[in-house]
Amino acid sequence: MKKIEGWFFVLMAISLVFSGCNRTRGDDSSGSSLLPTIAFNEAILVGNPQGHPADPFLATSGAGEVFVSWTEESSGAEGRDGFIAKVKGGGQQLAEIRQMNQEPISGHGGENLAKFALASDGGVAAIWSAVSHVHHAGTLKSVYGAVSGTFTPEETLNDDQGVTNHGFTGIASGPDGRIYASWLDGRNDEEAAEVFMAISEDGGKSFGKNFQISTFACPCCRPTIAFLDGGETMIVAHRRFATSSGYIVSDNVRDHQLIRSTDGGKTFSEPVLISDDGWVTYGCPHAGIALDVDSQDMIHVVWWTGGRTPDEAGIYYASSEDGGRSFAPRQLIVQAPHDTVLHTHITVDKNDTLYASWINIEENRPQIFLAHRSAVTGQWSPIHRVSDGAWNTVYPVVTVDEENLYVAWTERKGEDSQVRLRTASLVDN
Amino acid sequence: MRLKSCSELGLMVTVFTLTLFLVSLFVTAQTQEPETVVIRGRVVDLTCAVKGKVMTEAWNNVGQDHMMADGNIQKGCAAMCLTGGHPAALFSDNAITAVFACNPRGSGVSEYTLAKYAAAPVELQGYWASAGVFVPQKVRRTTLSVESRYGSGGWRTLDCAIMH
Repeated sequence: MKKIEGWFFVLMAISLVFSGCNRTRGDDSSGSSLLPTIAFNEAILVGNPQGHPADPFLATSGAGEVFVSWTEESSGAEGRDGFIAKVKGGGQQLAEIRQMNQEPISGHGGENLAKFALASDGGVAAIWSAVSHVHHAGTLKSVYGAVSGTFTPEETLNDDQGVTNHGFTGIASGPDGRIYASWLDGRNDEEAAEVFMAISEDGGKSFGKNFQISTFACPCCRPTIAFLDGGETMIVAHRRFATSSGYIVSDNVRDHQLIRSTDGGKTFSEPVLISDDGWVTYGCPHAGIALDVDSQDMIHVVWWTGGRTPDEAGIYYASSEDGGRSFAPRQLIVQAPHDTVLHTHITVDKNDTLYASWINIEENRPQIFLAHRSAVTGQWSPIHRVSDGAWNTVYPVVTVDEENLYVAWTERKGEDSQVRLRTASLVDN
Repeated sequence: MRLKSCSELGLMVTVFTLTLFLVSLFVTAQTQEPETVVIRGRVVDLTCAVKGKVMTEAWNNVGQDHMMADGNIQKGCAAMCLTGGHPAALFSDNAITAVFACNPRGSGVSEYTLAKYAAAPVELQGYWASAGVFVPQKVRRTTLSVESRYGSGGWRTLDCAIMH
């Protein structure tokens, strides 16, 4: 009998060990099936298919209106045109489509896509890299569009007058009514390995002088801005860069880090490492981290890393409950290829449910996946594939309003491209 | 010349056809495109790598920073030397597995150079010119963004005609 009891306890211990292992994986968490599943509507196409739309960006205004921007090939000119529209009808139609640019936008897109923020007065502030024949990301442009009507002509956002790299932007509307823009800047380092910022005091109509907020940034991965404490604290996440001596060094770890400012951007803290992934690469990953803050000021981040070894590669989640001074150990959401850099985007709804979207490779094709994390249990839902698998899909973006989750992405097939938008009811509605 | 019979005509046509066939075979053999292959490893400066091996009896100079004869470390040596025109090679499985037939300087549209990939894990497309000597035509990093891998494939053209 004692022998049987002994085996029983051994089996129990083994069972507990394995159940513990599984909990860090969002896709096979034992409790995840208890979370409600997401039911998506049919996807709609965004933009004019003849213009090969690409590079969507989504944001929700303070009044709860959802906007989507995208670019299309410029007719008769090099580069692309940028458009913005309101998303109506639960994500089934676009309204008030407006062109944002007068001069062509850089066609590189992707990680360096055109972005916008919504001002407290309902205006739109948008930024992008102009076409450059010298650099991947040349001059930065900003425009402003009031609630309706045409956009203002482009103004140059970078104040250095230099012919160098400026791009890979982040833009956010602060609770104080200011618009904050950040980007990777090459004025002091041709590799654009510094993060710069400019602030608009008038809701995006104009931006002030540029200032450096971080050095040794990975020169091709977008920074992301968010706010805590009702706007008292600003946080900026970016991928680190080991040295200023060029991007090919043996110890060039490219993990993500976060800096904080409690004085409106005048000064920033020393960088805090978000996760000690130890990922080393020798080129340009073109993948920043996805970051959002919930109503309890908990910072959520989701990102891809190649890890220290190929079997560590995957999409990971981490959070900070102390305003970004430290981060909890990462949790694996799903494994992913180690040699293909993948993109993520996240958003938090009114109930603090986190929605994470990312690319992974399925049947030798990049596809868009999504899962949500309950704020109550901290558990991840089963993973849902959002794209239909017919095209290669890249760069997902997500946002929410009071009722719905919105996911948009670029699809590519050869030289052709299109933008799709899908909507689902929020899980806790 | 008058042909004595139809069989002679047939014979001549056969001989002519055979000759044409053999000549075309010969010409094809002479002008056949070499087989394009992909090889993998790290781009190294051959001179520094071999010097380091001789000095230290180990492949210590296959990274970006190299040990000098005086024992000091030269930061960024690989990129610097390859930019300067030193011969380039491929390092994999703890050995030099290919010596590149060229170290292109890069210019204009073919701006890509091996120096840009110094010490980095890469794939090179090209062909073997002779034992151990590889003619690189295209290069890409082993790790690529998803857009590159599933779009253009991330390959960059190397032009051996643009020499130092």
